[in-house]
Amino acid sequence: MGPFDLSAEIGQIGAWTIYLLVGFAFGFILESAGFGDSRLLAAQFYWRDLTVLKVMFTAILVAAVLIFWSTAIGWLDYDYVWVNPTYLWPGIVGGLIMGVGFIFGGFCPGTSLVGASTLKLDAIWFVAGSAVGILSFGETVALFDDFWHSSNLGRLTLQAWLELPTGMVVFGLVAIGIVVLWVGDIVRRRIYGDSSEH
Amino acid sequence: MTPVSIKHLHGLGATVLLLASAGLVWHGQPTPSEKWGFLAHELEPRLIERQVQIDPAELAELMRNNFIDLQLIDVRDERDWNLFHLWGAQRIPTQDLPAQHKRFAALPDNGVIVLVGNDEARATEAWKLIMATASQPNAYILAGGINRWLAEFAPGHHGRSVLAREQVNDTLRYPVKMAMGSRHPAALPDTHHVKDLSFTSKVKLQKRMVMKGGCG
Amino acid sequence: MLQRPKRDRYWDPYIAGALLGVLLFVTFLLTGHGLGSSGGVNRILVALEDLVVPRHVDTTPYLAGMAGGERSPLDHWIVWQVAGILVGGFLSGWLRGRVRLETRHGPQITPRTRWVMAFIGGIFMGYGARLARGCTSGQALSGGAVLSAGSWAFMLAVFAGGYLLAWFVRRLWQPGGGS
Repeated sequence: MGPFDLSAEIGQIGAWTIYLLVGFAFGFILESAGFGDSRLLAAQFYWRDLTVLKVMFTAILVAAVLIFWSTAIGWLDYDYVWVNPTYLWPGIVGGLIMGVGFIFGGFCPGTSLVGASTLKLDAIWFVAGSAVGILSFGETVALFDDFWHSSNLGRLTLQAWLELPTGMVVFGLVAIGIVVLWVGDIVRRRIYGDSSEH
Repeated sequence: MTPVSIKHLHGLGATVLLLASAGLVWHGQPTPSEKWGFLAHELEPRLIERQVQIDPAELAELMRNNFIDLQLIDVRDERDWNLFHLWGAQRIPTQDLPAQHKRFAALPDNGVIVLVGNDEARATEAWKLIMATASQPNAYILAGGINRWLAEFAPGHHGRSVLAREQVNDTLRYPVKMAMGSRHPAALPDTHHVKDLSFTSKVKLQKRMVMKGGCG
Repeated sequence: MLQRPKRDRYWDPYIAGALLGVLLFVTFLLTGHGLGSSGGVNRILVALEDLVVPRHVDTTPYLAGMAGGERSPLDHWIVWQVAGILVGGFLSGWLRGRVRLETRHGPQITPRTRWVMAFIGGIFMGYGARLARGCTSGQALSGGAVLSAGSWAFMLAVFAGGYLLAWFVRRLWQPGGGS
């Protein structure tokens, strides 16, 4: 039953290989979808190109359905699955700041790596900028340490918060996602005509 | 591929995903006993080979061990609890155990749970439940339960003959004269009482698989 | 000047998304956790910082957690994953002739302006990603897939931030003549 203690099962080198392969597939898929191109990424925020929304939501929901079917039939132990702890306000404030960074910079950390790997100069400048941002955080976090550790709701899942069964939450998200993307596409074509492809 | 085909693929994919998630609603996530079902082949042998049932003497020693974070969980009825229970124990009926899973899962590496019943049947059910719902903490069962504990540590020896005669049915059969809870001298046996007893030490602090993740 | 295709041909977004979803699932199945990026960049930086100013790293709590004393910040799965992303991204681009030293920028601005904006955007991104304890890969994709409430809140905040500001910076991205 997954997950596995990789370094215990296949050794340290084996574990690192798996992570390399996973990263490789991640980078390959992202670049193939166009995520190395800042113009494509930014177009999302003008509703001109919905690739970002489509890829992200599809990925999250396909993964969720697969994950929760695996836990349902005993392939995966949800107790051992890493669920990001919810630090509500640092997450929201950080998210807003990242949104600003996204529309100014045209990338997010993962996609900037993809862009940099194909020698996009703007991506390389972005990575340099994020280095400065990360270092500044390390130096300044002590000033607002209390905030950074605030609103820790722990391992809070949507199903626990909404007090609904897991399956219902997943189904609801899938239904909402399908509607949003379908309608979103119609809106996009209405604004920009059929010349925009995605 | 003409555009029409891609659109059909999208529609098909969306339908499949919707049906699959509807299936999740129907199937549901595993109940604790179903969860045990998945783990049984791995964990049942530990019960059968008696790797997790510890002698009263070993528990008595654990109770005085300052390096172990001992969680004594008594799963008996309130009446039996009031008659006698171990010093430092908490009474948690079996059905309330899954709700405590966060606490048990978050036990430190030196945390040890010992489940206590009158005999072993109820404690074993509780053990299975905890292993299935709390990420397999270091959990053990008191071999022979309270009945055996009292037979070994309570003053006087008349209890042993009583127990030898009667059936094992998870009731408190040791004759307890007054309800003393944990004020009974056997609730925390003296060290000299324990030292003479030999036992096979079974408690091992397993290094549990740590959930690691997150962006660094 | 090299002849460039009028529009780079990228995968269909839904197919790419489905593949990414399968990858995400497989990662969870094998390792119990998802993907990540900003943490990897963070750790590489801290490793460099540890070479230059080790005492500072040891005395700053946030940094010491990763690299204090003998600890190596590179001894973490996410560093290997980030290395993989660079290789994978490069290979995909190379196979399709997309590895070019160039600047993608909106038609109304110059490459130089784009560089400055990318740098500034990067600063915000880097800072925000650490504040939120993750980025779109670690929090949104991975946390979203396992239904972490904080991750979904985070995701909404990122999109909100971007959309709210989009109109004000439209000159960076939009073609001339308005929307």
